[in-house]
Amino acid sequence: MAMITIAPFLMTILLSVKSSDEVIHDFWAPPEEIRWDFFAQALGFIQHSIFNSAITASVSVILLAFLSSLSGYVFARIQFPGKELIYLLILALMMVPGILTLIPMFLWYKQFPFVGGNDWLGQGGHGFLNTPWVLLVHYIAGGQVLGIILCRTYIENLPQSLFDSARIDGASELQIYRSIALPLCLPVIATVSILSFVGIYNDYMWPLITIDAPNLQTFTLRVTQYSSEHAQEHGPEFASYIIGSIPLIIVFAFGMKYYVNGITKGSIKG
Amino acid sequence: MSEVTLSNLSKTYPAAGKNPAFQAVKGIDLQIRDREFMVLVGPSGCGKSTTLRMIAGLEEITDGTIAIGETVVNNTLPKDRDIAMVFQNYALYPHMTVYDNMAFGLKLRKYKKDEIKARVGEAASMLGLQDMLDRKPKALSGGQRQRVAVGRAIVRKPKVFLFDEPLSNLDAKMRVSTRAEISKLHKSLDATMIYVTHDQVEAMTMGDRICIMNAGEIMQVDTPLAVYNEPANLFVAGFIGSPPMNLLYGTVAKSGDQLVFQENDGQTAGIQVPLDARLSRLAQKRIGSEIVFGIRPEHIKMLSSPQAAPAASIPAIVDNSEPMGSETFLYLLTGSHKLVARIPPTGRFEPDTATQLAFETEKAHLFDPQSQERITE
Repeated sequence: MAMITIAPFLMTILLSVKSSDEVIHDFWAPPEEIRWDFFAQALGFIQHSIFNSAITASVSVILLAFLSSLSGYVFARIQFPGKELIYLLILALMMVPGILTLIPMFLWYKQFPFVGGNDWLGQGGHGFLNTPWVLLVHYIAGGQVLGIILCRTYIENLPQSLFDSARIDGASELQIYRSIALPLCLPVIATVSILSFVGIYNDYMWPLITIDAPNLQTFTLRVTQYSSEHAQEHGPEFASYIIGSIPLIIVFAFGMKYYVNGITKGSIKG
Repeated sequence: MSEVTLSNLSKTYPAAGKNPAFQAVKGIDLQIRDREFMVLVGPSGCGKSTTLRMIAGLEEITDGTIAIGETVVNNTLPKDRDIAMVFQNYALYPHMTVYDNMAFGLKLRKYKKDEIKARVGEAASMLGLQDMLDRKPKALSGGQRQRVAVGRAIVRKPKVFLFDEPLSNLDAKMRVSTRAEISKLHKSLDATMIYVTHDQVEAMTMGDRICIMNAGEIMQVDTPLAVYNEPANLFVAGFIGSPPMNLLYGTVAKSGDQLVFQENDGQTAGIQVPLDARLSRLAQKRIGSEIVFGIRPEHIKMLSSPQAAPAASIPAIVDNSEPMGSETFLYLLTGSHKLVARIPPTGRFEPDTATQLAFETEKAHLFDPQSQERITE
């Protein structure tokens, strides 16, 4: 089963160092000559978009992880009227397929009042479109649904006595969150961060409809643009896929321990 | 002054879903004296932990007042009550070292670094934790964790210490030694301590006074020996003591010119216990009425042979025996009750053997089965 999963990736590596002729005429054969120059060629074309994607994903993940853990703490440990109803609404958001809300979402960002030249009715300008905010705000807000659910469940399963003890020690709610809940939540925060980073970095649909400006293009947009513009150059195209995967590999390499830990703890503690 | 006064204290949990409203604490009054070691003891669900949590400010009060010293603290935040609490599961912050755990409360109260260091050092040396200050809780044994939890409480030098079943998670041996350490600590700190436990041995050995609770009400508050020797009611008699007091249900009857306790009104082959002068005085007005005769296991003597039995001897059948080493618990069947006697370890009794007992009636008690109270002069 592992081979079925890994074979396409190995094939991508193979195709990234073969000339286009070889790819077309002898798809499965090993390369006659290894073309490392395709990587340099691809890097020149996509490096800025990788930077954009990595920055967008990193900033979004930091903020959404922080907000998710804070909201998770509030839902888990603070009583307020309507708490369960609000939580139920958040849960319900998970059930709505993203594609259904794509057009309303697009219009919402485009016609956001007083932003990007819009008047108070949201007319006359481009709103958040074609700015980094259209990505950041969307990912931070959207990614929180799963984050809040995971963090709430995790914090609810921490012993109540820890929070009682901190309260007697003299901590305010904010200090309890910062000094007790946040450090103890690191495994689940790592899980949320990795899942979100991968999702944001790989997202194609949202940048496609909201970003036009070449300097703001994300990796997924840029690489598909390259494919359509250079339909005959398969080597650099596959090389760009490999290069584009490197940030994800780095994130996994550093976060894997916490990721697995978080998932395991989640499964044990419900 | 750090006395704690509970006046008409109540806690009712409102109805939630299918669960009806539940009154966990029912208007209790209790005064814990300055520097006293008060133990709240009772079975699970009796309201002892709820009471402690209300004193700590972790649970809202439904009715009544709590005063620490002269100040009513009903609406005071836990951090401003000048209390410290040791929890059953230690509640150590797992991501902090022992030092940071102990210093956490002081840092939040903006103590100077030198002061924090001095206080933590002092507490650590008092509890033998000097070599463990850099360790995380997971690298400590249960007993060490408990000492850190106690250390975290004492560094703040609070007016009142609260302990919520702190020894429950320790093994039997560790429990005995930690019990002694906490008692010693109480003497050296000279502070007011309120200690919740369901273990009556802890209650008897540690408390200056014991408050026995049941179903949200206080059953009796007194010194350990007074509670043991003069239980206020049937619940206390049956709860304090291991094994507990034998409680025989029957009536007061007249046999000749003497009053006797007649087990089960004579309808079955019940035993008859002649009442001595003191018990007769107590039972005088209850001839023909139902009564409960209570006697501690150590006040039942085994007579060596039936021939040696005086007129007041009581026949019984040996059910089984539990040799404990220093003593033996002998379970006996009388007319309709099962009794337990505490006898010297040398006694050997085979099951189903007929034997004769003598009750030391001068140490027995009579209870009213309706009011459940002990009958006193």
